[in-house]
Amino acid sequence: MIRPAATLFCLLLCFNPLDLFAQTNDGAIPPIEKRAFETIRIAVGPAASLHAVHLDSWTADYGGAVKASTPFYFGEIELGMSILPWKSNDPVLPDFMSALIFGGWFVSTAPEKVLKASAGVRMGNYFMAFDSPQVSGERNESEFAISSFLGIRSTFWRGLEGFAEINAVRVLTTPRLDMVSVSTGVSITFDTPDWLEGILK
Amino acid sequence: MRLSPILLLMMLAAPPSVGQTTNWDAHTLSDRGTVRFSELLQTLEPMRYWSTDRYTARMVGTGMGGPHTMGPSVLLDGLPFTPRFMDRNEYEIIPVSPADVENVEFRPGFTMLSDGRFADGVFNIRTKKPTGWSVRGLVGLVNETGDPGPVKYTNPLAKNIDRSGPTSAIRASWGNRSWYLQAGLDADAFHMTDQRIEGRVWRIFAGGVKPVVSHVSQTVRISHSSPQNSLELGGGQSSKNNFLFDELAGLEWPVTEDRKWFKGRFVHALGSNWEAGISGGYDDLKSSNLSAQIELPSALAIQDANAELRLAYATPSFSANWAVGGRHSRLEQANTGWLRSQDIVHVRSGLDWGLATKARIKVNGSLSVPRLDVSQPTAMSYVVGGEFDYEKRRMEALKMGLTLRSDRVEDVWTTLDLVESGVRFGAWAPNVISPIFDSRTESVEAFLFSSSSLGRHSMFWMDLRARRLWGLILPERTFHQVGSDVTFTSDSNFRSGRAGTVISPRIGLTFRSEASRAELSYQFIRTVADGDVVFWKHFSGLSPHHIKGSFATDPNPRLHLFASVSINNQMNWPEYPSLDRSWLPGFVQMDASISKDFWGDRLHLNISAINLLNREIVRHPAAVDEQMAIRVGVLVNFSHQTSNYP
Repeated sequence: MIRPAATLFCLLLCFNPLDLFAQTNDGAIPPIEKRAFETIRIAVGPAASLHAVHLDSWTADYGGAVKASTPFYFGEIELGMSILPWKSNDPVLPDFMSALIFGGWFVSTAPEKVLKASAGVRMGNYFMAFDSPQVSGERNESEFAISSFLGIRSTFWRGLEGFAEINAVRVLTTPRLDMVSVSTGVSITFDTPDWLEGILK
Repeated sequence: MRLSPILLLMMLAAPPSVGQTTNWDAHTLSDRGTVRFSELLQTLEPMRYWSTDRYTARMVGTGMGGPHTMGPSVLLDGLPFTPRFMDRNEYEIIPVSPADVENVEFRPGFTMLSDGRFADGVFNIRTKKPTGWSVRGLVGLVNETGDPGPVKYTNPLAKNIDRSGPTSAIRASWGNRSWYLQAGLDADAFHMTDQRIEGRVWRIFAGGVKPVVSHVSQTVRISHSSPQNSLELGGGQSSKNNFLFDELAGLEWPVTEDRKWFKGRFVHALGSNWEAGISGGYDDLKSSNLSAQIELPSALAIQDANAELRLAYATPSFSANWAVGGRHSRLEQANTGWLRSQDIVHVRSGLDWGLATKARIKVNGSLSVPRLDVSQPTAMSYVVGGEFDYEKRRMEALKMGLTLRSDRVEDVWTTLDLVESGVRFGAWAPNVISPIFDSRTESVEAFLFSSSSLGRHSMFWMDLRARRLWGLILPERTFHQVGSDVTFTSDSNFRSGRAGTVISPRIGLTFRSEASRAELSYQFIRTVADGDVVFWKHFSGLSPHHIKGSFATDPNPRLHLFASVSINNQMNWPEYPSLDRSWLPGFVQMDASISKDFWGDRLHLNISAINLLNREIVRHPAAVDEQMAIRVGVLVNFSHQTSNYP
């Protein structure tokens, strides 16, 4: 039985949380309270499905993902959306577009390193918009989803980074939809505007 | 067991009832992430409850009255406020959201409130009253996981399951140190899409009707306080589209409940030791039906008005109070006509006497009698309680008490009273046989409470309670259930003179530090029926062993984590003897919440996972299977000051 979410969650536990408090370049340890919400990182890129359980009648096409993250009191938190179109393998069944809207929390290895690894968990809602209506006339379905992910990212110029991640998603339908997807792309980090930092804090 | 009225009037007590109280403050309660007041009550440590649809909980207090009791009454800022109908307290429509609550106090045991009604346990709710202009609100959603998703296209029989919300509450208020004015609007909806409920509803409509319970209520409140005077006034109306499951029928009753209410209390200080007060209330309920395939109970109209005058005397070591009041109730049914009018007068009195610096004695007595029978002791109902308290130091106390209650059923909000009054329930509950009302219910309850300090932050407590009941009038019935179909195999035939004993020890640990709070408790309930099968059948239904624990911590002043676990062993429901539903398996429920404050204290976001283990939970033989659910709540608060309480 495939348990990608559990596997990734175990990997997440292998991260050394002390890395969160690793020294920065100037040797000072920034207080956690002060770092929280100080910067925002926005990432965007393509996404693809590698594996799906209980979706045998559909095949995923290429999609995309966008997310925004900021330092939290512990680790970082994020908000994001991942979109994937699903083509039906059966002419009787409709195609559908899926959108996973999620919030998440993750930890990363020491920020001064060139290559940083991240792992985290996400929770969100998995929306499905179908091409044709059901008997009841409804076209849309949605259900909560949980996921865990592993990722790497590397700074290549100032606040610009490249990233790649593998994501295990479980949609809490009956039966469960288990999916493994990958996404890659670029991200930009900038200081949080004062007004937004005030709200977040 | 019978006491003379003169002896009763000599008995005095200051508190509304005897027994150990438990308190929860706003901070402790907001960690739990609940979006409804009724949900909030479910999370409190002593509370036992069951539900057929997951959302409309039958809260039964500590369970001493069995699983069919109406449940504890509610005092809202000192005013009796418990919407009732058909043997249940409808906590869902009380116009209080978790965002309003400043403090909750629960006191178990029998008492009589100022509306002249007996209560079995009391929730004393204090609400927030911010100064200056204030707007605050709450929006919440609860979604049970397990929808079929794309499988709906490959399996046409697959159906979505329960979801709930949005539930919302908004308050606009203005206040200063003396006056507080508030307007409120509450709305709620929950979709009962479970196949078991849909199957029963299909029988009523002979067609597919989606059962959605919803309600909207509007309220206005005014309060005033000064060194000499205190005033609390409130009024409002609500409309609830209900699918009320009642075991009288074994079916949902698709009924619209339109209510109007008004409550008030005025207290005036007469010098430094005396105060006088007047309080009153009015409730109006009108029911109406959706058109259905089967004949439903025709429209009911219930009006209930009450008033009380109260005099109190207090010094640091002694307090006493005396009250006299009355109530008028009226019941009418369309197509049947006027059915019942009751005028009942009552007196209450009490004493709280400090024997020494650490010991106190509390005694109270309340008596009610129909106005026309005021000279006949046999027509009287009473509750008398006494308590001895010894408080050695903070968190170290010993309390013991005894309460006697004897009453005739005289309350239009009970199903028994509706049956006895001649209400016709149509084809919805066709075979209801009226009981013979020549008996009175009597009970005696004894308790012993002890708490010991385990250091600066921890306390161990023990609450031993036993209740003996006589003369109960209980329905004798048997349900046959196959899938969603619930039918009677015997009429709902009321039997009088039922008797038995309920024994319940509870023990627990509480821990409280600057940033963390924890509670752990265990309750054992034992029903001794002495061969009375009707009593035993009616008093089964709560798991005998019940463990409840919770832990809350604030890793940061703006981040709050809460987790709770409830462990219940196997439950017997002998009224449902068929198949596997005559007993229900035990279950473990784990919930977890995370809350974050944003934008100062103006925005509060909460996400909870309910039944995190996603194990099947069934709380009643006719109930839905509860799966894991996700709850999201957003509270906004634009207040000059959070509260005017010190």
